[in-house]
Amino acid sequence: MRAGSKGPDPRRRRRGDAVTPLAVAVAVLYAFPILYLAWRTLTLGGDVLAILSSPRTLVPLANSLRVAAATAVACAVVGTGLAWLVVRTDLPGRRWWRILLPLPLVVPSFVGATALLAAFGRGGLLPFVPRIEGFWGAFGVLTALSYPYVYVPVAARLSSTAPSLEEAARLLGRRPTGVVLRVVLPQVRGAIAAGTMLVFLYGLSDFGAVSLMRYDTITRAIFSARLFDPATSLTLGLLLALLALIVAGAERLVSPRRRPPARVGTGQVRYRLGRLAVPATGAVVGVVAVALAAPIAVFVAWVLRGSATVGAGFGGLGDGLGFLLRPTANSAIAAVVAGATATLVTLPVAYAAARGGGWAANAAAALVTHVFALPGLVVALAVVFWAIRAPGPLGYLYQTFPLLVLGYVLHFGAQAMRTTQAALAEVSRRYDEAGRTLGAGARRRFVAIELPLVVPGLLAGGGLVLLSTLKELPATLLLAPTGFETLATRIWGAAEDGFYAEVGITSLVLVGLSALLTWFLVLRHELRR
Amino acid sequence: MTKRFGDVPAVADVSFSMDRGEVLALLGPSGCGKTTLLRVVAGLEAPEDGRLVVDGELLVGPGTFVPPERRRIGMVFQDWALFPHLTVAKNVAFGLERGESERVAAALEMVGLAGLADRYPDELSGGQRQRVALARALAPRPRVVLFDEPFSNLDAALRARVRAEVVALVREVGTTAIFVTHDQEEAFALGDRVAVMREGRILQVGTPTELYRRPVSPWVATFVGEANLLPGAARGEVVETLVGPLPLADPLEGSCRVVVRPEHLEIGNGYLGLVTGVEFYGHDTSYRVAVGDATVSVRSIAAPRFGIGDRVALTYVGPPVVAYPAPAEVAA
Repeated sequence: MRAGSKGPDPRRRRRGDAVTPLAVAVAVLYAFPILYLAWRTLTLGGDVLAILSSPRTLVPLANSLRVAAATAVACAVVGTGLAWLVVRTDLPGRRWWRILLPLPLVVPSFVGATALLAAFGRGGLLPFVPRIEGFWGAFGVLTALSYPYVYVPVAARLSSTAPSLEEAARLLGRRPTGVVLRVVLPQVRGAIAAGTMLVFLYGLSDFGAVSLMRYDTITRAIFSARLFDPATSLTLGLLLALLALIVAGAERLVSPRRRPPARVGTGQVRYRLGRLAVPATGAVVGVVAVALAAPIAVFVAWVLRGSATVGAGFGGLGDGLGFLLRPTANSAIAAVVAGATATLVTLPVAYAAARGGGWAANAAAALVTHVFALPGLVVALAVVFWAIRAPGPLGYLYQTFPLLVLGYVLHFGAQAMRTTQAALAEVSRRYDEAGRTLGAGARRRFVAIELPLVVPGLLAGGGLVLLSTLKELPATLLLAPTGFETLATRIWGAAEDGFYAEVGITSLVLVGLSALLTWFLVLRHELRR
Repeated sequence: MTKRFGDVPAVADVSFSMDRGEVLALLGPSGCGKTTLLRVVAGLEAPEDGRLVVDGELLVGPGTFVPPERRRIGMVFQDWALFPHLTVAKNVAFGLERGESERVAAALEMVGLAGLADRYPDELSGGQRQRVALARALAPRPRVVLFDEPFSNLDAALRARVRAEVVALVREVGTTAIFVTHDQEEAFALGDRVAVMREGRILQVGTPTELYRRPVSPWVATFVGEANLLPGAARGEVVETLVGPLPLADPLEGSCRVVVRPEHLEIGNGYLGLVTGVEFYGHDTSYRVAVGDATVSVRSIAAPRFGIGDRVALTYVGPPVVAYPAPAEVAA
């Protein structure tokens, strides 16, 4: 309902307004972490102002913003560049790159950082290369592993823009570079912005890479102050949550409101690289080598080294790989359930935001989005906090599988919601109108027209949640039922104990499982088109 | 009825009625509000005020707004809006109840696509998609079918043929239909009656012949076909013009502007004017003739007999002419 209209006028309602109440109800769920932080901060009675003005807060805060912003910019450039090379040029081997380039997303940041640290420096696999730590280390790992957040949506958008626009620009006398800058980039701006935003929020939330790289960010401060100085830890968490909420709310102001023109013509304009083919291929090979091949090589090296000296690097590999069956199954089940649940739960919010767009719907979307920027630990603590205070039988949920899934759904719901929202925006309203003139009511139009048309988007969104869930560590450690091991917790445990061969083999299984599930759920459909 | 977007009325005080089974063409330049009017009839836009009655049922009125899905008004969209994820048969079946599959077959049979039931829209040619859209709109037997520039996505060669097929089908089914178009030829070919719209208003409704012979304003006269607007001096039933005295359709006095269709002028040897342009179209020839300080268009079905610079005479051979009092609007 737009502001200023008097009373319920059924004529002026937009399609998404009917589900806005449901969207708001879902958003309340996503407010639990920030409510927990606010409640605890206030009741603990710490000196909030003193905490906020202390250098122990300001320095990590500045570091967090620095690494998140730098990573976001780097990923925007790398992700967009790769997408353009693969989709719109005659890059050699682009079919293969198209399959390989999204995969670094499946490497957990703590695993990537461990591999990078192990590879270089004294005692490493490549001892002559100096070890990178601190800001550059965290920045490098985060960029290498999260550029697919930009690459995937931009590649999808680049393959669906209208070729006629670029052809027209060429005929109007623009050189190819000018066409790319003035015609192509503006059309994919929305996809770049959406992906960059996810990278930024992810950069804020990351704990694995920054802690291993010993870079002092706010997530590290939250973690290290958690036990001896809970007031500081909670205040910092609240600060981070508010920051994320502002960023998520402000994003609407920069995202393009204009709808892309209807597509005319088929196929895509492909640009010839000419002499640039060699450096371009080199760049793509470089990215894949650093982000994908290097971690895998490190894992393989650990496994080989471990199996050469039996018992030296192994917790239980001597009995074969059977010990990994349980964690693999647990990871797969948790990830699939979380992916499906997150997609379903956030669907009303995505729908209300895409088809209605009132302030309530937008606020709901911002609430869902901001949780993604919180460290998994904070989300998990909030879930535990509310679960043990929940009335009646809900209190028994503590340390059960449903509560674990709830943690994942809260933490990663933004990925599903945003993907669904983008997919809904792509569906022409003409189909809805055609359905109406054919006598179909609102429910039938949703089920028979809109839903089938956004299925690829739903799968992609669920797929992202699934990948994030597979990698997730802190929330899993805190929320999982006793004895419920996942691949991620197993890697963590083995790394703590120094069983690197086991870290290697388990990481390989994790990457393989992620790749397999991604292929099965998402890529299979995308590449068929 | 009236429909505004912001403060600008897209459709202003429009009123018209149709008989059952009639075909109306809504003709106007782009941006004149004809598509908005069509969408208001379909229920996809809500008018600020006004009434819409179909078959005696009030669909729009004070306190009443029947949503499009309950109006039984079909629509063929400009881009056809075929559901890309459904087969041809399922697209056509979309507006039907369960268990009416024989009507799907009948509708596809009707548009000559019986063999393509299991194809998807992206596997069809433009003409085939057009026919699927038509079959889908007609299958639920709507009371009125609306066509929003349905032929503009087809190339010229295909357009005339598909248009003839569509209009034949619409008449065969006997449904009431409204076509929106900016093409005068198309409007005349399709409509039992044609409504000419400009800036949100309907200027004139009538049969193609009425519109062509008795346009209500100089603008309508030039929009529905090529026309010379010659200055004239009317004296009752006769008007004096550059090409001589002409019979008036309606008596008028004083100075006026006279509509003279190019094909109603015959070109011959004489000294009235000077030929300044000749265009040969194959089936006819168009001349531009300077008479005094006016330029007159003439169409002749013969091949060019005169060239630029020739002196010629013009003779009026048409029916009584329409004239408008002089200080009317200034037409190009």
